[in-house]
Amino acid sequence: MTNPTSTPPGSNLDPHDSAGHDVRDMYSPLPVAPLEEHALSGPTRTLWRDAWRRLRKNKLAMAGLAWVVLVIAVTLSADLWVPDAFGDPETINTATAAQNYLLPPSAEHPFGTDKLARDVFSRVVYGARISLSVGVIAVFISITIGLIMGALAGYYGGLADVLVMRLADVFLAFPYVLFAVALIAVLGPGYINVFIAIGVLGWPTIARVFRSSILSVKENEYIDAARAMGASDARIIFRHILPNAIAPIIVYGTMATGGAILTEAALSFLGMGVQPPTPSWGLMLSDAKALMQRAPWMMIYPGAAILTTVLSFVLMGDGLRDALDVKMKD
Amino acid sequence: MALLKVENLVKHFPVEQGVILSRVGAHVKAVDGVSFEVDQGETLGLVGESGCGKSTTGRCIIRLIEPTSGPIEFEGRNVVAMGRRGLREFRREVQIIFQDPYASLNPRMTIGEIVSEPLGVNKMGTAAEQRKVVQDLLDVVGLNPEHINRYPHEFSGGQRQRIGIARALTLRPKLIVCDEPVSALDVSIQAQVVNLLQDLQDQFGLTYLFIAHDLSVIRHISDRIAVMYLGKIVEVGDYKGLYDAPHHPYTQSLLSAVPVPDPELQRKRERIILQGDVPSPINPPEGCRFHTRCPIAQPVCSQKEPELRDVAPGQKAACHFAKPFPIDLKVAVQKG
Repeated sequence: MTNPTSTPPGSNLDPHDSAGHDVRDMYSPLPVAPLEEHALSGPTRTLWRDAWRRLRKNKLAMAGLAWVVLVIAVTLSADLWVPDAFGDPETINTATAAQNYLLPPSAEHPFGTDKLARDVFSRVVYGARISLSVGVIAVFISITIGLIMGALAGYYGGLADVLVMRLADVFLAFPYVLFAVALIAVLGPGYINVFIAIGVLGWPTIARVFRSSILSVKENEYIDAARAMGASDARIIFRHILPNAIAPIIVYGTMATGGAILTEAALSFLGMGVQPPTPSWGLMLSDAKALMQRAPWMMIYPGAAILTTVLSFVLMGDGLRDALDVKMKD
Repeated sequence: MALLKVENLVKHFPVEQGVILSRVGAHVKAVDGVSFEVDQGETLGLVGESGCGKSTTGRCIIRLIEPTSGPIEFEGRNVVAMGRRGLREFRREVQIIFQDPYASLNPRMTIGEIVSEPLGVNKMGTAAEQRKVVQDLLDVVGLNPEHINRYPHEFSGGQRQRIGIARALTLRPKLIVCDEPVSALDVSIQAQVVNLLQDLQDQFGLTYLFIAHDLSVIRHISDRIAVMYLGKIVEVGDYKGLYDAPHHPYTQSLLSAVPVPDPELQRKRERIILQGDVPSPINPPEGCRFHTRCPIAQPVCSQKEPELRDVAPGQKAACHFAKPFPIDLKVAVQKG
C-alpha cells in the first residue's frame, strides 16, 4: 500500500494513527507540512491570550482602542494642561466676557466659545470625564446584574427562570427615560445616581440575551461531559458556558456604552442628569440646540466627541467578538 | 460479582402542558423497567432503534439524568442514593463517551485543557504533571501529542472522537458508557475507533456499556448484547447465541434488516419486515409492547406481559412464543 522510499519521513503510515487526517499525497516526495517544533516547549495557549493576539491584528478594533485610550489619557491629564477650567460661572472674567462669547473656532479657542464665553475645547475635555464614566460604569453595573440574573434564569431554569424573567418584564414594561427620571427623583440628582439609574435599568436586556445564549449552549454534550467528570456548577458556568455564550453580551455591552452616553445626555437635557456648570457631552449638546444656527461649533465638537467615542467602543466590541471566536483565522 | 447491576430501572419524563400554570399531564416512559448486569472487563452492547431508551439508560447510569426509580449498583454501591461526595468519587470510576464529536468538545478550550479537565476538577497533579498525562493519553488514542495546544475545530470527526475518548480515559475509569460513539462517523473511521476502543479495553482493563443502533458494530465489539424495544429489554444473550439464534421476533426482524455487502445476496435473502410504526412511549401497548407489530402475535400477547426468561444457555428473551430462528445469512440465501 505504501512505498517507503518515496514517502517523506515523519509522515504517519499506520492507518490507525492517521485516522481522519485530511487526504494527503503519501507518495510524491513533496515535503509535508513541517512539524510544530515549539508546540511542546512553547507557552500554553489560552483563550484570552489567543484573543488578544487576534485582536491586535484587527486594525479597526485597535484604532477604536487607541482612540478610547487617547480620550482617557487626555481626560485624566486635563488639569495639567487645559487652559481654562470647565467653566464655573465664578471664574468667568466678566470684563472680557462680552467680547468673548460665541466666538468661532480660532487659534486661541480651537473649538470656539459658548454663550458664557467659556472655551468649548476645555468643556469637551472635562465633559469626557462624565460621559466616559457614565458609559463604562453604567454598562458595568448592567452587565454585572444582567449576567448574574441571566445565568440564574438560563442555567437553573424552573422557578428561578420564571422569577427573574418576570422581574425583567416589569423593568422593561416602564418607559425607559421615565423610569430613569423616577429613579433619580428618588435617589436625588448627581452624576453617581445617574450611573446607578442607567446601570440598573440596563440589566433586563442583558439578562435576556445571556439567558437565551445559555439555553442554547447548555444543550451541548460538552456540558454533560463536564458534569460527568464531577465539575461544579460554578466551573461549568465559568469555564464552559460563559466563554461560549459571552459573544452577544460583548457586542451588546459595547453598543450599550454608546447608548448610556446618549441616555445621560437625554437625562441632562431634562435636568435630571449632571447639573450645570459641570460639563457633559450631552449637556453641551442640549445647550447648543438653541444656538444651532448661530454657533454650530457648540454642537459639532461635543457631537463629534460622542460619535467618535461611541464608534470606538462599537469597533472594539466587534473586534473582541471576532477575537474570541477560536474559529477565526489567525 | 457484577461491576454494574441495574435492576428494574425506570425513567419517566413528565410532559408539561400549559404555559403559565403548567401541570404534568402524561409521562414519556423512556425506560420502563430495565435490568441487566455488566461484569468486570466485558462489553455489554445495548442495541435498539431510535427512541427505545438506550441512551436514557446510559445517562441514568452515570446520573446525568436522575432515574425515576430502580437501584443501580456499581461495585455494590447504590448510585441512585449517592450524595454529593459519593457521586464525585463514583464519577472518577465511570466515564462517558458521547455520540456527537462536534458537540461534545468545548470549542473554546484547547485539546490539552479538554483532556486534562477531569484532573483539574478533581485537583490531581500539577500543571506539568497534567500536561504529561495529556500527552501520554493523546499518544495512546493515536493523536499527535504535539497537537495539545490546538482547538477542536482544527480536527476531523474521527480525531475529535479520539479526543473524547482520551478525556474519558484521563481518570482511568473502570466503566465507560459509550453512547453511540461511532454513529456520527464515516464507516471507514468507525472501524478505526471501534478497534481503538477494543485495544484500550485490553490495555486498561476497561468495562464498556456500548450503546449503538448499528448491529454490525455491536456484534464486533460486544461480549453480550441486550436488545431494547420501547423502554424494555426484549432479549439479552452472548453475541454468538443472539446473532446465530435470536429468539425474540423483534431481534429476528432487526437482524434480518442488516444489509449484506453483496447485492446478489442482499436481493435474494429473506427479510422480516415489520408493519407500522413504533407506538408512542407516552402510551405503550398493554401486555407485550411488541404485539402491535409482531408477526407471531397471539391474543395472550395483548393481555399478559412476558417476563425475560431463559431460552438458551446464557440467553433470555421476553416473549411468550420465543423460539430460535436462524438468521444466518448464508442459510437465508439458500432458502431463497
